Amino acid sequence: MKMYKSDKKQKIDFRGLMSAKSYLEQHKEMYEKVGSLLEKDDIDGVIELIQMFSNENPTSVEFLVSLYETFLSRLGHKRLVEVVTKEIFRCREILGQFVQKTYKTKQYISSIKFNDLEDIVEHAMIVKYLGRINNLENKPYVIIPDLQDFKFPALLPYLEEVFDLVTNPYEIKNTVNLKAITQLSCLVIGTDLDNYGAGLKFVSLAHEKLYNNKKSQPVFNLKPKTEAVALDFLSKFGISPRSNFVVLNLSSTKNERLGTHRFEDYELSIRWLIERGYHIINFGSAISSRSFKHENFVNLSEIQYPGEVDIFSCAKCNFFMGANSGHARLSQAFDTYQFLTNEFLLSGTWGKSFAHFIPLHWEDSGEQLLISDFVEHCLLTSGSSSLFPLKGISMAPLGPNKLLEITQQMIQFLEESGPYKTNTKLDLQKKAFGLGGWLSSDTLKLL
Amino acid sequence: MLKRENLRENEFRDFILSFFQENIRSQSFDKILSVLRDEFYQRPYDRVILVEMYNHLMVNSNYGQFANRILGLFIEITNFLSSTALDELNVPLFAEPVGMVQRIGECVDQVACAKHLRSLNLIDRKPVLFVDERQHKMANRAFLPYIKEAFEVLENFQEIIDLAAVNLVAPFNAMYPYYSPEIYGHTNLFVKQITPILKEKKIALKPFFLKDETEIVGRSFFGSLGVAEKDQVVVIHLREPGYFDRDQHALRNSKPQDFRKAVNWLLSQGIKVVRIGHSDMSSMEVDRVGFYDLTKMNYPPEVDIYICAKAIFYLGTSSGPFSLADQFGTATLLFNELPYCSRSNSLVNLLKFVDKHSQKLRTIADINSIMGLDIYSANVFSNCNLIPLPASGDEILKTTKTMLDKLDSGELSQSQELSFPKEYAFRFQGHLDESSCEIVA
Repeated sequence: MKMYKSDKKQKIDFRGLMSAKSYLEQHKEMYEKVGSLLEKDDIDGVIELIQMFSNENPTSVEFLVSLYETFLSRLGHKRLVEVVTKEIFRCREILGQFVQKTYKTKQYISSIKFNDLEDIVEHAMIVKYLGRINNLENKPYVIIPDLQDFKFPALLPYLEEVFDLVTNPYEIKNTVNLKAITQLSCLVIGTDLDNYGAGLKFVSLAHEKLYNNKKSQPVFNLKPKTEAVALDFLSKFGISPRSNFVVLNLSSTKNERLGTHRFEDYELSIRWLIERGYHIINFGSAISSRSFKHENFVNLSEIQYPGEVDIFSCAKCNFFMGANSGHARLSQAFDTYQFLTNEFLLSGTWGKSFAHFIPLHWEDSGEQLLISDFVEHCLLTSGSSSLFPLKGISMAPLGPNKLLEITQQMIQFLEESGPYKTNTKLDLQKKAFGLGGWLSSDTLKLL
Repeated sequence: MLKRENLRENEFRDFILSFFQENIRSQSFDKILSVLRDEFYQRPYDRVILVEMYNHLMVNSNYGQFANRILGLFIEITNFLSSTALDELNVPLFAEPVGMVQRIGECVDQVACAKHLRSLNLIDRKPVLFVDERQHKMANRAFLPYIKEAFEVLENFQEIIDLAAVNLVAPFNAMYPYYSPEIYGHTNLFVKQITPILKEKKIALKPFFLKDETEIVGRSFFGSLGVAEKDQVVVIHLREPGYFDRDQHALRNSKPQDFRKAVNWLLSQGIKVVRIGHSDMSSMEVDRVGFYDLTKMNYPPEVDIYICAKAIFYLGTSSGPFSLADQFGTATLLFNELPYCSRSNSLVNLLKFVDKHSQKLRTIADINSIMGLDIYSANVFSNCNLIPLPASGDEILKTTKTMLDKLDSGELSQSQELSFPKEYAFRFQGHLDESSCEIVA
């Protein structure tokens, strides 16, 4: 029987007999050292420090995550983000192996925001992909502490296929107590040291890997009960299983912050789509959409409806249109097309998405940013508007006429003409920037 | 047997406890232990269930020796987790929450044992101990500086939260220390088992020394009562219901009136007697100069520590203050002691039992063959038809006189020549009184 004693020799300064105080103190010291190296613009020094630290302290992964967030959202520094992402992934690998060898408990996820459809579906996609790539043998635990208040009960049968849902945390309290080593964080995740990333960047990577291995399947498959309940409700609005319809949602947390999707800018496109025979099912923009009236415009933004309608609509629509939101994510999960306007996140560019990047300009020169600039300044992964003033970037959301033009491109794309062919030609250039999915003609010009 | 990693904790608990109960009836001890080993190495984070099994057996059965083997498995798994985590993850060692700070006896003995483990180079760092008085009130806050000799104490709630991510990745269980495959177990047993090792390595058996901050408060308090530093004082504590009442502790309680003769005799010898305890304790009905009953008084927490450390000896029953006195190196005189054992520097009167049917007095060997020597739960003795015979007032008086003689002659610090079987000789590090020697044979 071994004793409570580490046999390892001290290798570098970080490795000593770890006390609670020294454990906490070293995080403070690291912040100070990183700050001072950044002041001197010594990026190599920061990288060396982080690698040395994470090498010896794999349980300090949450501290590395806080550095990652700083580098990404406050500095927008590509190289530092890449390095710290890799270190986070590596630490999680070490912890995962330790769990397998010693505690043998299933991992659990505590990071899901249960009032946020986008976040829930994103986590489900990540876990499902991990499972398919065989990096996850068991469904991880997810604790829903207040099931009676859960906003998306219709989604539960789908989530149960992905997670081991726990409504009473005391049923797995020991697992939860072992936070550092049992947590499966979806912030930075991967399959191996060449394939990892933050959130949906991983989904994009994993999707591609699965696609190449011919294992690509929807994350969710529509259940008959969902379909029956939803159609029963939607039939009142003239929607049948044979209807052509578009799901519209212009609201998302990011949109509220950036103000990039205004209903009035989309009215022209909506009318054009209706004229083409589509029903529009609108889930967002309650106030601004109130005055828009048409028998084929199903405005659910201010009425009560069963949760199954969200799921069915996203699963069976011709395409989703609007902001990168929970409904967009649901469409991704059911492998239906998404038409994402004013996009600048990597999460909008994989699988069956058709994205048009928001025009961003350097305030100094007035020149438009190229995709290489998006990559260099972490705009594809950050999603943080706070980077814009910091970097001297201004944005100009699309007006009604441009939106109509892009909408028309989307229909061409679905008919496999127009931008469809250009995308195919430029596939290698897109992949070089880590972009999947499909891009509008204007966005392709930024490559 | 299938691996059960997908079972929730409560489901696994139900499964393993029902297996345990089914097989304990047939006394299939080896089979039980083999299955428990397989199952709990698969689910080591549920290993606390092993302690529940151990406690269950100790309180409700006469399978004391088997209970110890289960406890050994718990300790083995805990050590495996800790040593692996310390080697691979560079994390602090965390003390498991085992109710240490809420009970002074547990606290003193656990800290003492942790100090011994460090002196023996078996742990290379202070384990981290969370003390959050919003959740668990400390039995004696003045003991905190002594806890800090062996533990890294954290009280700042924010620090506790900041460390939550690594809390218990490397667990240390202070209640059940481990030295070797033969020497491990509850601290009360461990302090006796480890005594020969400590002696051999010339490590202090009684690891605490009074700190100035305790002494200043204690001296001032007793000064105000008229007790001078030069006075000879005996501290008395007699366990009674009203503080920590569980059925298994019932035999540790006593009647204060039985000790009145001894107290009066001590007072007649010019020795002052200070009684400590809780406010629900019954009166000793001693009304003589030199007797100070603090049980009805409010006083600073340093006072208990001070008087237990300073008294010429501790008189009473096995309880928290007994450990306090003992670990500060004060000689102890214990009555009605159970389980059968004696710590070094003590004179002990063992609780006797007679057979309900034959009325025959049971020897230590008899008790050992019936249930082992670690069980002290009243209902187990009752189930085995054993009736307790607590010491009478005269017997207590007689042994108290003997105690003073042994102290005067210095005999207490030498070993007593008694012939115990090797199997349990280690339990008796101190002296037994005359009546207890009669059940040694």
